[in-house]
Amino acid sequence: MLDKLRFILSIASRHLMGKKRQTALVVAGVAVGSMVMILTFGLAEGIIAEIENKIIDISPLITVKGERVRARQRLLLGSSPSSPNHYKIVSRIIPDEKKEVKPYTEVVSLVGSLPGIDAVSPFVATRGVLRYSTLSRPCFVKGVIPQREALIGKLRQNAVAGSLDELSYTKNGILLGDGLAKKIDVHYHDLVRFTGENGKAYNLTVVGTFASGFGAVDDNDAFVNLRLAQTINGLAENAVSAIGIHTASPAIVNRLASEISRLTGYKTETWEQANENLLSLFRRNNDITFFLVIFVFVVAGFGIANVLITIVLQKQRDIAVLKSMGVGTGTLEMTFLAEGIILGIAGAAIGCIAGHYLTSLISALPISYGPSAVVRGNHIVTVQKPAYYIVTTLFAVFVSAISGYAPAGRAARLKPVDVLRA
Amino acid sequence: MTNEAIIKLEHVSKQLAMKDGGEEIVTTILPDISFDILRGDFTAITGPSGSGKTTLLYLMGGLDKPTSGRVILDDQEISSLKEEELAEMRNARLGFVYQFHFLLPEFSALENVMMPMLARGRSSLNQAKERASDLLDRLGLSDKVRNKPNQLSGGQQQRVAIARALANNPMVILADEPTGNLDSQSAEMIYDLFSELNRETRQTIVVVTHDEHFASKTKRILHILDGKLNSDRILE
Repeated sequence: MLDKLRFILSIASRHLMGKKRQTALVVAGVAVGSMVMILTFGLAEGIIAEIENKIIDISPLITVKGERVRARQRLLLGSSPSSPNHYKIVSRIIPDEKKEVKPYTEVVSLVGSLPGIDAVSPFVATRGVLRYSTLSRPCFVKGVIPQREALIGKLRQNAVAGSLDELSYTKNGILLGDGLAKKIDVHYHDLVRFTGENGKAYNLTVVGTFASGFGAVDDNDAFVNLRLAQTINGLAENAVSAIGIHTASPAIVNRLASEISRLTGYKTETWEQANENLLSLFRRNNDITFFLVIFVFVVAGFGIANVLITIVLQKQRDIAVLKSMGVGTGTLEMTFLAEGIILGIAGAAIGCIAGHYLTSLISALPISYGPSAVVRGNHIVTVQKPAYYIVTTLFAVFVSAISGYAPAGRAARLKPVDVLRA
Repeated sequence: MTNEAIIKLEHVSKQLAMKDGGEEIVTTILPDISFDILRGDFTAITGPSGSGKTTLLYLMGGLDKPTSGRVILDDQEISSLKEEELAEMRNARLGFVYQFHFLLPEFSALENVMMPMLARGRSSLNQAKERASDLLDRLGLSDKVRNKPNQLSGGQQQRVAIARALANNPMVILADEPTGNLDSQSAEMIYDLFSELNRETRQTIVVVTHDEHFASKTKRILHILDGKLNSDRILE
């Protein structure tokens, strides 16, 4: 068996070495296809990873929303995780009921005691218009307890000027996204005027700015103290619009979200559900890119088929002689398939190496897409995993084998007498 | 020479169908021919161009199938064998030499001779190398083993082709105009080589040739005319 394989490979390799220029061109074609595929994997997964990381950095992994999934229940005072199922039904779901979590302290206490929960941060989300001098801009404002919110994401680390901690001791303070601050041209310790949904205006002191790297957040979001947001939204002191939760690992998010919803009766939403539109847009974009890359391989496959058909045509006499000396049809088929596979493996090997270096080079280049980018950064994030190289190599070999199939069949069907008689 | 027939042709006919426009034209190359080749025989098949000599050789070698009749090699009817069985039979029992050497250009003389031994895994690489070296040595090419075909003279190329035909120690060597492309000196060398092989090893050899001089060096001449056996002369 080994000798037969050696026999097949020796003929296949000599055929290819006999056509060095065409072989080199075809290998280059497969290499380009492989390189582009590695790069596409790296870039496509990189953008998804970057977006996911940024979302995780700025958002709760789970949000307990102020919407009930079942009849309102009141947690028994003193209930504990060991007896979380003791409830008292006090009313039915009211469709136009205000979206709030109330009393939030009990939910925070219950959720916070669950294993796997790192941080719990109640918040009130509201909207309004921020004005400074003659400039104004609509914005989203989140009322938080700064110490708790600091544990949810990287708001503290993302501070550009001032700090999140300053918000905790500045009752009428506001922490602005740096894009929002630039748009209305405010700076640290400036006094801005915020008009809430209730029509009331509040004078707020800018206690800092932050940059999350997420354009939509940095350009539109601001943080104030929880109590102020409750006032703006007309919520009671024991009510919030939602509760953000951070878990020890993103892997347990789905299980915990169901568990929390079951325990509290409030609807929960994971970070993936909350950002489904954005993530699915990028994933769809990646799928389209992959289809385009596959066509690069198809073109390379045509190159392989072209070279192998040329070899079959030029080597008809040799094929006839090999058949006359007893080389079987299967062996000849295997020989030409092997030629295709050799081209595929050689191209994939070169392409994978080139793809690795190109991906590394691109991620090292200082590239910025400016302030209007969805995701801001100083370089393109790429991901490299062994699986990308394995998939690329397998795909290159598959395309090469398919491309070699027709020429191999042609060689195997050749009747020696037709060639030798000519 | 024994009287045992190693190849038998029984009422063999061969017709070729060709398309001319939409019309199929059937040409009869061999109407009905029968003869035996005996074990250890050295036979020349002669005749004018187009008489069907080469077709006969291909039928004997299982490279072509008769339209009717039977071709029997070593008591086995080969005309009804399947493709893979024919390949196995050719590899084990036959050796071919053509007018042009038809050596594989990318391989050395040694590798070309090893080829039939490795084609069906009949020998290991080392065994094949050893036997190929011996054969090339016997044919006076021990200093050319590493040479590619284009680095050899016409006579040397044809001797390598003969060594290749002998690689699997075949029952019969079938040669189609083996000197047709050689100068007289090289051709003489090939005649002598075939004669010597037949004399010393009792190798059965069937040669298709135009060359009367070459034919006269064999033991038997089958003369074909219009696809029929015109004469069968024993020279010894």
